[in-house]
Amino acid sequence: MRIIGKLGKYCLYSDSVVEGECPEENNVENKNKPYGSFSFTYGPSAGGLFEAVGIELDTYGEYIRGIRVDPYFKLREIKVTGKQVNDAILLIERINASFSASHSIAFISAIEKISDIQVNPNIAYARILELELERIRNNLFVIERLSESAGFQVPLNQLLYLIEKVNRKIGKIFGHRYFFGANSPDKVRILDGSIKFDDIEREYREIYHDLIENRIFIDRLQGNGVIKDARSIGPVARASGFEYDARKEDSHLLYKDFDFSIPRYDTGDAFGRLIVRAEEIFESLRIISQIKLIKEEQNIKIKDGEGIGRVESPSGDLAYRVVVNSGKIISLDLLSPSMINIKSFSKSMIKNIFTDFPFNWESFGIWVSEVGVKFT
Amino acid sequence: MLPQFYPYYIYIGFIISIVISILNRKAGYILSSIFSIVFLGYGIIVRNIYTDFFIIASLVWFFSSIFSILYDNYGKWLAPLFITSILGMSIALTSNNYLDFLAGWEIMTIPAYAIIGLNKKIDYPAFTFMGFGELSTVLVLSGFLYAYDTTGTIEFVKLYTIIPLIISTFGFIIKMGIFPFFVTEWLPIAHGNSPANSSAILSASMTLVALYGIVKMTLLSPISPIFGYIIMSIGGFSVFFGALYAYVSNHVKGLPAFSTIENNGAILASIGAYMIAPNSVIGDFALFTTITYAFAHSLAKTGIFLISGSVEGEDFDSIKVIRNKIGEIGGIFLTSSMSGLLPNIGGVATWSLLETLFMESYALHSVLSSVPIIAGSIIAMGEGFATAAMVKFISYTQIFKGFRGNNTKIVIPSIVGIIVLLFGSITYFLYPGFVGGDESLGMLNGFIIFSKISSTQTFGGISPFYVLVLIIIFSLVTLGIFGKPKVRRSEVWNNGVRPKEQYSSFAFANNIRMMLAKLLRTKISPNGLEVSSDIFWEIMYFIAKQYTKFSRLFAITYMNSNITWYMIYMIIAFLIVTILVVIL
Repeated sequence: MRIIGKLGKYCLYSDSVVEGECPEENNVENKNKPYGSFSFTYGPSAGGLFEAVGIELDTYGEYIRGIRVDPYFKLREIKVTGKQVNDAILLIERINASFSASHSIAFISAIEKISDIQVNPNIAYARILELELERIRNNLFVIERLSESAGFQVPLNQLLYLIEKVNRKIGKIFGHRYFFGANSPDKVRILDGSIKFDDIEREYREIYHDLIENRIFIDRLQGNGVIKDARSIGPVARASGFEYDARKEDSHLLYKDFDFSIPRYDTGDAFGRLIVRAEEIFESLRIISQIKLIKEEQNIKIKDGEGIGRVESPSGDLAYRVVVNSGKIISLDLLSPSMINIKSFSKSMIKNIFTDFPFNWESFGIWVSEVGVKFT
Repeated sequence: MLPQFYPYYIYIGFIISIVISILNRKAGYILSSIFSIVFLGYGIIVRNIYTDFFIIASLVWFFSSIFSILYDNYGKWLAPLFITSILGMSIALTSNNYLDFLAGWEIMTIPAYAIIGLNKKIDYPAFTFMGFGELSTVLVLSGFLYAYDTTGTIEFVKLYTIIPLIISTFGFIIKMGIFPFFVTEWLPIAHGNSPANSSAILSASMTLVALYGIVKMTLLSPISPIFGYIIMSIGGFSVFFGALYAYVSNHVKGLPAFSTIENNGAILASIGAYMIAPNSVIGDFALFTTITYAFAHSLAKTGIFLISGSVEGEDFDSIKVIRNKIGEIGGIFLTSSMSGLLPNIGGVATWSLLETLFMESYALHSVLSSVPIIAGSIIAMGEGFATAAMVKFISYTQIFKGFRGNNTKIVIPSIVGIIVLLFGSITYFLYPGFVGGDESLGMLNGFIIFSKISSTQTFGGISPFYVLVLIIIFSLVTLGIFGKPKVRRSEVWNNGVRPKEQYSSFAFANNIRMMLAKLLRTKISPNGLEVSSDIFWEIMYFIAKQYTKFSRLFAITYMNSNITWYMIYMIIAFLIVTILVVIL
């Protein structure tokens, strides 16, 4: 059993949920201001940052004593209470387009759990295909961002090209490159189930091997942002040896029907996170190769009650707690992986230096958009 | 026959200035500035290699005295002590024999102890300065005694052994704060919080007297290339460490004090270059380099210390500065000179030193020719740090920080800055025999300083005057074509949030604290970041403490009024001394 994080007024564990706050972490924030130290602001609007996020570095210059990440510069209030489930999905899948499948599938899983139904296997497999394609695309994007931080134009553009190819394939299968409108409680929209991914694997393998043979590149990652924390999730946890993965822990989505392994590494640094994400792409492709898409629908009568749906998003556990009454959303809480990864990132930056910052930041695969959200 | 100097009227002038300063310090400073000008005139009239030092020193005294009129609010004692120190320097510089030099040396040094001691915040800087000052005097005295022993006269006459040179040079380099004795220079200035005018003479002209001593002894002594290599290496290390410590120093006077060590190291390296090949074209060039460097350092460093006197506080991050345009311009000239940039005199000096070292290496063609190459490379690295240190100094004293206003004190260093700029273009006079022209490049005869390996083989060339003129012409042309620059002012952009704390001076140098963590002994704890300000001093301090501990233990164990042990000690000591006497 492991602690995942705060989900509304609950603390979510890997196998249960407990009302109340999660156990306190021993974070003793050093608030003294020694001689020579000062705060240095980076963001919310600065070159190198993909989204608006405020970062305040406590530093002597170069050496980082402490870091505070403020993801709320673009706080979005999303009105979901009182909405029908299908209407709510339209908003939820747009919270973070890059993790659209993860958000909408976690939400629908919660609805299914409330309604006490076993998901139809063919629908579950289609959702797994979505999640794994999302993982591939996101992991490619993280590696692309790391290449960009190093100023490596060739792999950067090769990876962008590959991401575009994946997007087009997603669009052909599901009718939208960000899975918008593809998911609903009763089915998954499938337009073409015959799309193959062999070319993606072949091209990616070449780029990946070229990249990790580059000493200049890996020098920037090795030893950068080391964190070995039992409270971390997703690739961050797996890069430091923890075998944390919602795909193995949560049986709702039928991942047990597939043969795949969980890549792990033991360094806990940005390089470890790169390796884990890179190897995950091969494993995701292995899962995809085992999926045979069959269009199917399920009948679901949405009951009243509350439920929690959890998936393994590309950056770790993503969960929704949903309360439904008369088919309408009464209350909604989100546990976003980026919120937890921001905490892990902040811990890992201490004792690093400025120039390590972009590599370490990108290695966590944080999406600020899914943190600065308030459901009303 | 060596030149004889006896400008008694100058000594008398300074003595009168001292007496007057006791009654009225401003009048005393005015008089001392007048007699500095008289001394300057004397130096110009008698012009030779020695009187170049008179010219340099008198300019430093003049500007420091003028600055002191506006600056001195330290009470009654500073003015007489300050002028007494100048008197001591004038006696040492004009001495014709060892005894006069030593008398001047002590008259110069003792008031400096008093200035540091009387202005005390803490006791140990004055004691440390005194301790090393006296170690320096003992070595200089020993060297002079050896010279007297071999020549039978106290007059400065030709020597036939290099031992007096070696012993006295080590005495002089302790005074100059040379590797590994940096502490002699920075401790009294930074920790002793020496007043700015005194820091200027401590740093600029007092070390100039030590340099004069080395040059004098070198010119009196026989050729000693091996000693030259040693001196050159010591100088090279001093440049590197002096510049490195200057860069990481966050003390308004500590930074220029370490910069002085760097300059003294460069000067020493050029003397080393002279010692290697004294009777050659390169040797002559090395000697002129020494003078040029001394000129550049003494003048610019005086100006820099005077700037440090116009700020309130010691720490770059917390100082209060009144800024004005002329101060900024003067400061830029001074610091660019100390950064070795043309067309300032510092630029000529740096170029000249590196040319000397590389020429020597090229011309020697032996295994030892790697020494000047290595020394030159270390010096070049040090110059990089020195530039960064000077950028930090001018940025945080005159450009980034402070508020606009009229500070009359800033006018003096600004004038020094302009002189430093102009002196770059009259350095041609410091290189007789090395000046020429190149008509194919449109450069008239007399406007290029050539570095020469031999009378026929040229190594390189430089024209500070043309650089100056071209800068002015290009500036005017630009101004003529584009008119007065249009200045657009905008709000500071700080990532889209309101401006918070600014990048600090400490942070400016923290990259090096991190990169050279092993060398600088950088320690990071939750309560702060510490670096060794001078690792050599820390080692000396550690050894001294261990020795004291051992002595106490020894005294308690064996010398505890026990007559038996005392007798044993006396017998052993007698035997050791007897054996040493027999051996030696």
